[in-house]
Amino acid sequence: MPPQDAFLKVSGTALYTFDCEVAGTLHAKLVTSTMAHAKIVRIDTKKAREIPGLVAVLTGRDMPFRVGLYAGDRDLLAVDKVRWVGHPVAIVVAETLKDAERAAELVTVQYEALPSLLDPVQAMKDGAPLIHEKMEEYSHAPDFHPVIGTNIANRFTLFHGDVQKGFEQADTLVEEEFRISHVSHAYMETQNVIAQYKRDGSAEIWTSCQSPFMVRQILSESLKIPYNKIVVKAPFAGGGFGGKAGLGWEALVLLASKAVGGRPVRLLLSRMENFTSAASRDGMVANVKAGFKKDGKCTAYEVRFVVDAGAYADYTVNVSRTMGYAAEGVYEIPNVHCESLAVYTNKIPTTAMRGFGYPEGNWVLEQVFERAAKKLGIDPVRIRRINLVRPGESHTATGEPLREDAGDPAKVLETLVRDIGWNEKLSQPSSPWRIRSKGFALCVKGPSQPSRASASAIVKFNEDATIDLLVGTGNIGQGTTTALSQLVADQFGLQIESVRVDPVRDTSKSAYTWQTVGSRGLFADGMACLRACEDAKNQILGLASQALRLPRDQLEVVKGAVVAKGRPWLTIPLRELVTGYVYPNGNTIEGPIIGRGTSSSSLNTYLDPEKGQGVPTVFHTFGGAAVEIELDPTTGVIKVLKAASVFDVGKVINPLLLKMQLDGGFVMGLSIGLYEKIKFDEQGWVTNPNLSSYYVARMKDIPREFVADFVETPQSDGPLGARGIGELSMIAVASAISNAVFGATGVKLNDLPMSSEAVWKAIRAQRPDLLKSAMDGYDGVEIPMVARP
Amino acid sequence: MSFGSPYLTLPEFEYHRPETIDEVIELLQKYGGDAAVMAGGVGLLAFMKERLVSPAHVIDIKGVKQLRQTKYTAGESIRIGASVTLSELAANDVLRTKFPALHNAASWIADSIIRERATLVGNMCEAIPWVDSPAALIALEAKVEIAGSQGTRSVNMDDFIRGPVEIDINPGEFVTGVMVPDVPPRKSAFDKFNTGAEFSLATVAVSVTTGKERKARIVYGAVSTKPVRCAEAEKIVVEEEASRRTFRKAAEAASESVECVSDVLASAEYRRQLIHLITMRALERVFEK
Repeated sequence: MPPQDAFLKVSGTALYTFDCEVAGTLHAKLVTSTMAHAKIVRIDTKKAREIPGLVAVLTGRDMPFRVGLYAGDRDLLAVDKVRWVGHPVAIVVAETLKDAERAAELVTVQYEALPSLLDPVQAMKDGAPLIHEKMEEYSHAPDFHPVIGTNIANRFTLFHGDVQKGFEQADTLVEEEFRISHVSHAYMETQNVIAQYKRDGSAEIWTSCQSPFMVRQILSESLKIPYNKIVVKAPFAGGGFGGKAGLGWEALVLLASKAVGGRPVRLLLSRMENFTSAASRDGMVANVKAGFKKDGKCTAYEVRFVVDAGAYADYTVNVSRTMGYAAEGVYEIPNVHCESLAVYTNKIPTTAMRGFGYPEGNWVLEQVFERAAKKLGIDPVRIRRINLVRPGESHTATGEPLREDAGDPAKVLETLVRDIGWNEKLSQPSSPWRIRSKGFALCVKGPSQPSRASASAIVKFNEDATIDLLVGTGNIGQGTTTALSQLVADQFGLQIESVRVDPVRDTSKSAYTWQTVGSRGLFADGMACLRACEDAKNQILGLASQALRLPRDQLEVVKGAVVAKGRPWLTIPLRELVTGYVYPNGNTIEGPIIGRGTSSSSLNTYLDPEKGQGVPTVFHTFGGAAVEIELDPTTGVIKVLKAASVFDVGKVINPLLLKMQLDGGFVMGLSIGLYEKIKFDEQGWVTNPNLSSYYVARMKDIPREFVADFVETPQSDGPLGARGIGELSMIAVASAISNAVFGATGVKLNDLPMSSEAVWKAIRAQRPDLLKSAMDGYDGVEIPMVARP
Repeated sequence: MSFGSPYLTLPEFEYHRPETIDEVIELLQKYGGDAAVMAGGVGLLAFMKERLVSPAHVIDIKGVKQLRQTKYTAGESIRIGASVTLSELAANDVLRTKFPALHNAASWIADSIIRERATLVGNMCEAIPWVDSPAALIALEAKVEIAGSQGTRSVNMDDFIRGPVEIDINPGEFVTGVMVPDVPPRKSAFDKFNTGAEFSLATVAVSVTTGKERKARIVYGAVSTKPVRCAEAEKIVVEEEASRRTFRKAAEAASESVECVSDVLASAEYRRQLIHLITMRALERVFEK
């Protein structure tokens, strides 16, 4: 079943915020900082005000608001000082975009430089200059623990068992340092917003976002506008990948609209502005020490993540917390000590991204296991099998008893190994000096959400028994609404065409859901949909029971009609029931059928602030990625020839969409693994702020062969047993590629991305013999015999 | 390569679409330094978006029929007009068989969508260090044909690019095309490395005349601020018998002697490694039986 919106998209008629036009709209442009860390001495707007089309210029002092979701650290425009190159200092509003651009050029800002911090490890040292002097005044959500008086925005610790003892029991130790670079979400539609602050004090927003209800929440809580006076409309978003989940530009643009007397104002970022002024994924440096017994059993795991959170860490405090509690991955390790620190630096702010801390932890853990296997001379499959969690018996890192129906990680491993042909011989490389190899990595993830993250759905029957399904989950290309429509259609035996989800989410009309993040859509909103169907079905059966004069337990809904069980001739089509049943004499009973359903994460708890113990998530999807690669030591180029992805999704709702998610996520993981890196110079400027110098994988870079496979272990509280999958498909890809290189050559690639230059340098440093023989092979010259003395 | 722009609009300009070379020259004379000539616009419009240039007048030469032609005269030359697109060149059989280095360079630039619009002359005139065509044109001893109010002149491609975005063109002049001499028996090849990058990290073009007197040109692009020939490697190829051992010697010489820069795409030492690899490949193709 192809996604329901496929036709709209391929025909170019799907509506994005980018396409929206509101009559009388003014255009906004940002004036951004040219210094990484500096006091604002003076902002001169005089010349800008001379531009004829200019309507307003606003600076930080005009907007004394602090906004946020978890750390609440963000200003709308810089107040008194700037914290990164790209930090918005002023916003100009003009009749045309050109006027706005010209006026923005003419705003001059005088700075007084402050010492800037670009390295998180330096930034967390005692005595480092503070990037946020008044952190104690920020409104931190429960579960977050800033270290006041430092640049540490959040400190998360987790431990169980005794790592020192664990190390003593170990036969061998693995100690490494791993690094990950900042990466861009690289969504197609750059961030853009149209906001209008109306004269009656209400607000209307059109925005390219993932989670319209979260936009409303942030606006209401920070600007003190009642929720029902804010309407957020979210049409299709041209990608999100987490980058449009938290804070956006809505509050800033809304206040700009207020300042110009309530005319609508649009802000649209250029790709460069999106790189330099919007948030990206964090960078990370991890130090890890792990102990293993001779048989491969992991006895202790100690890791410290230092997360480069950039100038603002509102969402990243939760990313770093998640990195911490997910550190143990798919394994059960008796002694674990983990510390995860989100540290402010004078770089671009960071936020959520597909995987949310799990890919970072995976990059460390899955390589540690590979290295240990080699050291101990154990097959990589075996070392994993020995340490794998066992649902029904094991506890997760946070001490949560892993439910019996959580999934089947052992079967995932077995399937993955089979799909990549782990035990089969490698094929011949395309040239003799190239090296073929296979590698894999396992992963797990659940949504990292607060316990009050709930969802709702409304099934609204129309006169002809078609359904308008109201949900809150956003359209970021992930296809959840198609799966939700299928679930609903199925409950009434209808064709999927009978169920429509409006492409525009509207907080005043759509059913509430907390956010469109964390692979939670199908799980949370899906449960709400099923319960709404149940509710509607109860109403329908009650009505039919009166009409047919039969007890309701003898009735069922089949193919769009109510039918008496075992007596198919006793039937009423739904269309004669859904707006009320009319007796032959004209008497009518009951009214239109509207079903409502909700779901909430009632098992979630806050985590113990010291030991990090508790229940942070509602499901764990187990899976893994495997690759067959060809490595060219002469260039360092890694070509992924074959990809295999296997996940225990509980229950497959839409096989085609699932395959698309697995393939698409794999490509994203490959791109981040091999190519993507936001580069900074010594002054904190991004040196590749566009898609011609920030390379994202192209068709020529992706494998020829994709195997997307699944295991089905239904989870009792998931919709038909299903678990989330959206983010999972990219998490283990980079680790699998690196493991393949290590497996064949012993070359350790500890830093992302594994660019060809980085790989070539690593081979040159760690295996000069390999590089030399490859060069000889490449050059095709016989190696001269060395005469013995 | 684009370095990004906060702008969403182009600077304001007046658009002109002349139909003859004389009209182009007239407009150039009239507007002088305020005018820019546009063929495909792939480079110019991006530069304008970034405000690297803000010409008040844009002169689109796609309306000049004479500049849309490619003309081959056997034993003499191939002339490629200034608005001939890269995809037209990719489909040109004469170019493919007689001038393989240029054919390779033209048909591997960017992607097939951009090649529908981008022109060879535009690519060459951009003269940013990472563009592909200049090395091939230098290897093939191309001449740049320039028209202006003072008449026409022709410049050796060797001297045309003076530095990054700096070309030998005077106010009031524009490039009408390039002429590549057809001097058989000559063999040529082009190669580049651009894995994981939108632009080349290193390119090489090799041409070898195999007549009575062997002559060779080995030119590197994208490794420095402008294309550079490597005399050391050329000497080895001219003087020594064609063999893999010779190729390796030439590749090693080039790798050692060509001055490379470090930039956002690659370090100088990686570029030196790539020079070795692409030199081997290009030489092998040139001397392929």
